Amino acid sequence: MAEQSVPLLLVVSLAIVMALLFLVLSYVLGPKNASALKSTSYECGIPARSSVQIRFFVRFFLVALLFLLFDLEAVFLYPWAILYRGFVEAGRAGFALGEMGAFVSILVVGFVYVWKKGGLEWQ
Amino acid sequence: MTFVTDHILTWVTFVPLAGALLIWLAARSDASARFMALGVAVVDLILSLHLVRHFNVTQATDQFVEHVAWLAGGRISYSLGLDGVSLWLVILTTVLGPLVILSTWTAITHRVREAMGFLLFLQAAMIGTFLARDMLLFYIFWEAMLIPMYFLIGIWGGKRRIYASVKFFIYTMVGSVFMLVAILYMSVQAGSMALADFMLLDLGAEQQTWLFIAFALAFAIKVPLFPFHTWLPDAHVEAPTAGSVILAGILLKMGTYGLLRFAIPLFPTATLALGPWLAWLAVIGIIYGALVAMVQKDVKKLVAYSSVSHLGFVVLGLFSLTTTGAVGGVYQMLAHGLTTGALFLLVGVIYERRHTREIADFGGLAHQMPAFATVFMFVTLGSIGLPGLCGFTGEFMILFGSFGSTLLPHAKLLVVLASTGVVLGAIYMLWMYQRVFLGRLSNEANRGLPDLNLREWAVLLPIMILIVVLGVKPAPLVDRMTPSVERLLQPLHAEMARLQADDPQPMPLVTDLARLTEEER
Amino acid sequence: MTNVAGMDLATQLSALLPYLVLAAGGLLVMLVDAFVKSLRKEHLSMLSLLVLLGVAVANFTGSMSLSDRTLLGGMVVNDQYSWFFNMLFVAVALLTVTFASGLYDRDGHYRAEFYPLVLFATLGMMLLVAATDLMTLFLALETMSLSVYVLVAGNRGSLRSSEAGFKYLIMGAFASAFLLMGMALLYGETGGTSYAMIGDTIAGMNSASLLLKLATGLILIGFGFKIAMVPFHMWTPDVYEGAPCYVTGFMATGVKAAAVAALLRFAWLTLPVLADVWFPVLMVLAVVTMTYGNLVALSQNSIKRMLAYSSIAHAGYLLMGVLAYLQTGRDIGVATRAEEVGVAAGGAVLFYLVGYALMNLGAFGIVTYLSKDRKHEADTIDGYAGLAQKRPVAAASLAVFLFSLAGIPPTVGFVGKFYIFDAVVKADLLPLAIWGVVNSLLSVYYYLRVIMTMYMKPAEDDSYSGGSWETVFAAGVLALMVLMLGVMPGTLSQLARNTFKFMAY
Repeated sequence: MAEQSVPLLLVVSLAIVMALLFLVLSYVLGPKNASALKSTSYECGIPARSSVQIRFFVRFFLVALLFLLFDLEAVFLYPWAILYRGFVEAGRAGFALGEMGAFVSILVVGFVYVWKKGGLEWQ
Repeated sequence: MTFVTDHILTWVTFVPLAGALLIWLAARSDASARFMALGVAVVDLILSLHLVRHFNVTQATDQFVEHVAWLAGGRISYSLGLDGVSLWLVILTTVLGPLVILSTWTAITHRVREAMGFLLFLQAAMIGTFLARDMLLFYIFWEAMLIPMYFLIGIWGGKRRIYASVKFFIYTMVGSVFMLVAILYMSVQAGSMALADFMLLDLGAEQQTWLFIAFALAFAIKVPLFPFHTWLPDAHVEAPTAGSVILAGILLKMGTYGLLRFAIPLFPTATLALGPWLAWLAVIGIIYGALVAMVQKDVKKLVAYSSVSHLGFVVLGLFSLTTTGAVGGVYQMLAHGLTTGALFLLVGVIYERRHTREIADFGGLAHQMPAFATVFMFVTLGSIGLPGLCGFTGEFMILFGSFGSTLLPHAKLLVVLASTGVVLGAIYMLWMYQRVFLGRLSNEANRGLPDLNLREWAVLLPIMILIVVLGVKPAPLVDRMTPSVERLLQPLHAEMARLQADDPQPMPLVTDLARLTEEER
Repeated sequence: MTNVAGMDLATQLSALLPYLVLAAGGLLVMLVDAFVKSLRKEHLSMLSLLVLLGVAVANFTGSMSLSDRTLLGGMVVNDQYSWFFNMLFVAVALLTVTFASGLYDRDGHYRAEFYPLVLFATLGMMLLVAATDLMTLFLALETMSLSVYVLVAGNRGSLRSSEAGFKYLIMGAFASAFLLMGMALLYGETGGTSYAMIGDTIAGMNSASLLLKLATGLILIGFGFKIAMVPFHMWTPDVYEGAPCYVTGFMATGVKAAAVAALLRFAWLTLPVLADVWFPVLMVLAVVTMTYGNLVALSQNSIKRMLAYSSIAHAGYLLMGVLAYLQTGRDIGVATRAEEVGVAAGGAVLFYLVGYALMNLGAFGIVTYLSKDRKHEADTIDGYAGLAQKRPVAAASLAVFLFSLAGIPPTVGFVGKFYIFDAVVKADLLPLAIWGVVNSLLSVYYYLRVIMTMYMKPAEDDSYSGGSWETVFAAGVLALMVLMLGVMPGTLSQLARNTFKFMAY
C-alpha cells in the first residue's frame, strides 16, 4: 500500500520545498533597507487613519451566522434535486420527497424558533 | 424457628446490620437509639449461642454451611461456614458487642444514632469476615469493616482523630488491595471464588511465594506485625473507648485469623519458606512492643503497644506450624480480646471521669476507687498471664508448641526470646499499675472521683467471669478448636510428606526445604 | 448485512422510534418555548421529562422484537448494544433535567434552551452508539458535541463558563479534525464508510497497511479527546469546573459513556489492527491516564475539579477494560479463549459505565443540590464541613457515591472495578491489574477527604446548605441503587455481558 501514497508524498514534499524555496530566495536576493515609512500599514496608498481592529455591532455576527446556517443547509437541496429523477424512475418518489420534507421541516422549525425568539429583529 | 436456625449464620451476621439500618432510619431520640442498639446486640448474642449449643465437637470441617450462587453464574457465591476457629471468634464478637454498646452509654453524647449504627454495622462486617467461605465475600466484609471504624475514630475520637482515621484507612487498604489482586489471580486459575476451590489449586513455589506475600501483607498490617504497626498507636489513642475495644478486641484478630485461615493452608510451600521470617518479626514485635509500652506516659498508648506484643505471641504460635502452637494462638486471640478489651474499657472509665490518661496525673487511685482498682488488678493479671486466668493458657500453649516445633528453625531461641516478652509484660503492666493506683493520692483532682457504678459493673463483670472461665476450663474451647486447626494445617503436613517422599532425609530444615523446592522446579 | 430494500419503511421507522420520538420531542420543546407565552419554569422540564419517558417506553417496547437490524441502508443498527446504551442515556438525561430544574427553581437566570439542548445531545449519544457507518458516527458525534458546547457555556455571565465552552469547542474541533482525518484515511484504504465494508476489508488483509494504522490511530485520538484520555485530557479540568454542575455531571457520565461505547464498537470493528499496532500505546496511555488523574486529584480544593481529575482516572480504568478486550485480538495465548475473555472485558466496561453514571451523576447531583444558584455553586470542599448534621441525607448519599468512586465494597463502584480487574487478570495482564489496584488506592485519599470534611469537621457559617427536594430525592434513589447494585449486581452484569456478546461475537 505504501506505493500508492508515493504521489501524495510527492505533492506534499513539493509544496513544502517550493514554499521554503521562495522564502529563502526572497530573503537572500532581496535588498534590505528598512525605513519607518516602509513598516507602516498599507491602505491604498493613503496614510492609515485609525486602528485596523474595529468593533462591529454584535447583531452583524448574528445575521452572518443565521445566513450561513440557512444558506448552507439549502445547499443540500441541489444534490437531492439531481438524484430525485432517479428516485422517481425507481418508483420511490414518495420516499425521497418525504425525506426532503423532513429535512426542510426541521429547518423551518429552526427558522420559526429564531423568528419567535426575536433573533431576526434588529433591536 | 427453623426459619432462623436453618440460616443461622446469615441471621447472626445480618441482624446487627438490620439493626443499624433500623436505628439510622427509625430511632427518634438518643436514648431510644441506645436501647435499640443494645437490644439488637443482645439478640445477636443469643443467636450466636445457638451456634455453641449445636456445634458438633468432632467435626473439623465447616458447619451450619450456607451456600447460594451469587454472581457470574455461581463462580462467586454467598457462602458462609463455621468451624472451631471461627466459632469462638464469632462468640467473642457477639459477647463484646453489647458490652461495648453499654460502655458508650455516657461516653458518647453527640450524634448517638450514628454511633450506634456504626457499631452494629461494624459488628456485622466482623462476623461476616469470620464466616465468609467465598473469597470475594470475605474481601467485601473485610473492606466493609473499614468504613464504620473510619467514622468511629474520625467522628468520636480525640484531638488528632482525623489524622488517625485517615492513616488507619489508608494503611489497611494498602495491604488489602494487593490481596485483592492475589485473589483475582487465583480465582482465574481456580475458576471460582470459593475457598474450597482455592484449596484445590496446585501452585508452583514461585507463584505461592508472591501470593503468600500479597496475603500476608494484608494480614500483617491488620495484626499488626512489626514493622507495620505504626497505625495502631495512633488509631488507639485517638479512637473513642468503644472503638479501641473493638479494634483491640476483635479487629486485630482479623489479621491473625486471616493468616491461619488463608495464608497458611493455601500456600504451604511458601509458608514453610517464609513462615520463619514472620515468626522472627513476631518475636521482634513481642519484645519491641513490650519495651515501647514500658516507656509510655499515656495509659491507653501503653495498652496499645502491649497489643503489639501480645499479637506477636499469636503470630509466633501460628507459625510454629504445630497444632498446639496454633491452637494456643487462637486461644490467645480470645484471651487478648477479653483482657485488652477490658483494659481499654477500664481506661475509658477513668478517662470519662478525669479526661486525662497520663500516668503522671494519677497515683494512689486505689484509695479513692477501691473497686475500680481491684478490677483493674484482676484484668492486669489476666493480661500478663497469671496461671488460672485466660492469658496464661494461650501463652503457655504457644510457647510450648513453638518449643517443640520441627518446622521452625531456631525454634528454641525464638521461644526463649519470646519468654522475655512475658517477663517484660509483667513489668510494664505492674509498674503502670503501681504508679496509677498505689502510693498516696497525690493529685487533688483525683479526690472525690466516684467508684464504678452499676452500669460499669455490668460491662466489666461478664468479661471478668469469662477471664476466669477461660483460665480454668480451657478444654471445651480447645476441644472444639483442635480438629479445625489440624485441618487448616493439613496441607502443610501433606506438603511435608511430599517433600520427604521426594527426598528421604530425616526431617529437613525449613531453609533446606526452600532450596529443595527451588531445585525441584 | 441484510438487504435494506428488503425491509419496508414502516418497519424501519418503528425500529427507529426512540430516535424519532427524541428528535421530535426536542423540536417540540423548542417550539413550545417559543410560542407559549404564559409558560412557567416547571412546564418545560416536565415536558422534557415526558419526552424522555416516551423515548424510554419506545426503546423498551422496541426490545420486544429485538434482533440485529441494520437500518437506513446500513447507517445505523438496532441491536441490544444500542438498546442498552439508549436506556443509560435516557436515564442520564432524565436525572440531568431533574437536577437542573431543581436549581432553576431558585435561579433568576433561567434558560429555556437548556432542555432542547439536553435532548439533542442525548439523541447524539444514542446515535453515536447505534452508528454503523462512519458518516453517521461523525454526524452523531457532532450533534452531541455541538449541543454540549452550548450547554457548557450555559452559565451566562460567568466568565469561567464562557471560557469553558470556548475551550471545549476548540478542543472538540481538534478532536473532530483528527477523527475526520482518520475516517478519510480509513475510507481511502477500505473503499467504504460502512462498518460492514470496513470489517470485510480488514478481515481480508494479511497485515495492516501503514495508512490503516494511521487511520485507526487518528480515530483513537478523536475518541481519546472525548473520554479524556491523557494526553488529550487538557480541557477536562477547566471545562468540568466552568460548566454548570448539572452539565458537568451530564458530560462526565453521558458523553463519556457514549464515547467509550462507540470506541468499543470501533475496537470490535478494527480489532486486528488495534490489537497489533495500538495495543502497547494504549496500554501506556491507560496507565498514564489513571496515574495522572489520581495524582493531580489529590491536591484539588474544588470538588468539581477533583471530580474532573477523578473522571480522567476513571477513563484509565475503562481503558483497562478495553485493553483486556484488545488482548483477545493479539496473537498470544489469550486468543484461544478469546470469547470468554472478550465477553468478560466488554461486559465489565459496560457494567462500569452504568455504575460510573450512577455514582458520578449522583455526586454532581448533590453538588447541584447544595448550590445556591448558578453563580454560587457548592464548589469548594471546605464548604462541605458539617454537612452530615445539616443535611444528613445529602451527606450520606454523597458519602456513598464517593466510597463507590473509590471502589470500596459494598458499592457498585467496587463491583465494577472488580469486574474490570478480573477481566484484566483473565487477559494475562496482571501487572496492569496491579497498577490499577494501586491507583484505586491512591484515589481513596481524596475521596475520603470530602467525606471527612462532611462528617468530622464542624459546620461553619459559609457551609453549604440545601436546595430542592426533588434533587436530593433523586440523588438518594441513586445512592440506594449504588448500594443495591453493589450487593446484587448479577442481573445487570449478566445483561452487560450478553449485550457485549451479541455485539461482538
